[in-house]
Amino acid sequence: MAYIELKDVDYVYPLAKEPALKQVTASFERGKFYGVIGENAGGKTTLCNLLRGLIPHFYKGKLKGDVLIDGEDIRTLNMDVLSTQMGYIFQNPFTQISGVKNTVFEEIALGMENLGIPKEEMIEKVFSIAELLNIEHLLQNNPNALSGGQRQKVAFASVIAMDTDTFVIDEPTSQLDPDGTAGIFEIIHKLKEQGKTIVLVEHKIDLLAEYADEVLVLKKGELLAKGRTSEVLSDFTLTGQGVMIPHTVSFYQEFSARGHVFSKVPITKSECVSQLAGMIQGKKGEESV
Amino acid sequence: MDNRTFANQFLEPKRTGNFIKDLNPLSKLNIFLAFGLSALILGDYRYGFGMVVFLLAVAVLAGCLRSYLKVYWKILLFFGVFLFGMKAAFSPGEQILWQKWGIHISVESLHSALVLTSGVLAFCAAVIMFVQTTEWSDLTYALEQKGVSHVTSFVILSAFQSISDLGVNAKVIMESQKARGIETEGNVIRRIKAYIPVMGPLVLNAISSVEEKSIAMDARAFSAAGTHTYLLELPKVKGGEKALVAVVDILLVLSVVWRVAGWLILN
Ligand SMILES: Nc1ncnc2c1ncn2[C@@H]1O[C@H](COP(=O)(O)OP(=O)(O)O)[C@@H](O)[C@H]1O
Ligand SMILES: [Mg+2]
Repeated sequence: MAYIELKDVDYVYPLAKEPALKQVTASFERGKFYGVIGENAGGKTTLCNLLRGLIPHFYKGKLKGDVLIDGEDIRTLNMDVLSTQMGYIFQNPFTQISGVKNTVFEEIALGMENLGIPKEEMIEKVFSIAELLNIEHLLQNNPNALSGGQRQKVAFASVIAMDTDTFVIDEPTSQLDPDGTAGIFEIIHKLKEQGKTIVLVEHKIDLLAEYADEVLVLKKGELLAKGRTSEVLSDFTLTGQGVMIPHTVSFYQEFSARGHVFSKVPITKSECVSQLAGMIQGKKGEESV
Repeated sequence: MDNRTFANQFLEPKRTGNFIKDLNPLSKLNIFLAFGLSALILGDYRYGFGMVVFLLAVAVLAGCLRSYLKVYWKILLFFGVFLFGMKAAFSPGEQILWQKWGIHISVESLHSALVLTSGVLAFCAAVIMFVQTTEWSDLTYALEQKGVSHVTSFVILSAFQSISDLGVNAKVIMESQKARGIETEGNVIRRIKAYIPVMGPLVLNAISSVEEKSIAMDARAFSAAGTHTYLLELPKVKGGEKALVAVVDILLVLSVVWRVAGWLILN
């Protein structure tokens, strides 16, 4: 049985005219990393809200179709239990800060307090996450007085600290510089290695290409494609549908337009390099004959 | 302070070193409420004003005189002047001192104005003292220690948070109104006029922020079952503190008895 199962899901926000999700059918396995891409207003955040149960528990609206988590209908699922199993990092870090803690240190610890983690363990965890995200210098600051990028890191840290089995992460690097982005991806990669299930909305396609097992493409509420990362990201019919292709794929296109043939479309740097290396080796072999 | 020293503070119960601030929030709530209520109950303006002065001294001892006065002077102005004026002008009385245009100032009306104003001022002073010396998160911690549910304590906490956010948002909006060339300063009428158009968005904002907050708290497993732990803990309440609260409460009961007895004797 799949971990999460969506069948023919339609969803309309309260007061909205157009559905934000249309006829979405998809399933998610435990321990896999799913990337979600697509143009603005495609329904990516709505999908996150749905997976995490905010739809229909907080956002009422009209939900049709089946949403099952471990076989149980999302409508009857206990949100308190779900909240201990599925971490959700919001697209807007401003709404994630609780506003009830005086320091970033306490803000990061808040979720762990609610999960009943012993104090010493909490403190060490805050330190280790702060180090990974390079926010040690902020620990004693007021969480309400941070820049957008700083807040985004603190919001991320606060949820990651809870160490849930599943993470739904909505555009965690939108306000970060390349260094910050790399840090976040390093952590997400570690989470994957720990066997966590991850659903990540992210525009930085090269990073997704590197880490995601599967990619979902949403456009105007419809699921245009879902499949193995290598297949979706090398599907040229999707370009122009709001799907950005990885650099390696555009490199491949130009390269093959000049008559060079790759055995398969490379979507990560290392695949690209090894294929190129193979070609050069081959050439050398031909020359030496 | 380096981060380790900072974090190690959490290993010990929180103490500021100030006797008043370090009282348990519930003790403080009890004591200050008793102070305020006693002034209302006794109905003696000398006691009421005495309490106002006494609480001023408490503010000095608690090291928060400045922030206390910053809030209190508005109350003082509003109730002290407005309430006193209304009561003095319109309360019935026999020994008229001055009257015109329907206003009758009499010895009795002056007296009842003094009683009312002193009581209200003392009560407000006590409430503000409590607010000034207590962090809301400490209060909710103390409540939870007493068995109040996590969700209830969150509702309390975020309600106060929303109120203070409201103040901040109002300020932000007023700044932008000012930037657009709308007069926001000057006399009361002008200020009220400037506020009316922003009230709607302000309230809507507050409502949606409550919604957002409950989602944010859900994301932190706020209502998860099982025992929660606390990074920051407050000291256990000592015997001396309990005795102090008991004495204050006894005095409050005595003031009620005093008042009732006085009323019975007079009748
Ligand atoms: N709270 C809401 N109420 C009404 N409509 C919404 C709400 N949130 C999103 N929408 C609408 O739903 C659609 C999908 O939005 P969203 O899921 O946020 O897209 P994305 O995250 O892909 O940019 C958009 O048309 C958006 O306007
Ligand atoms: Mg979005």
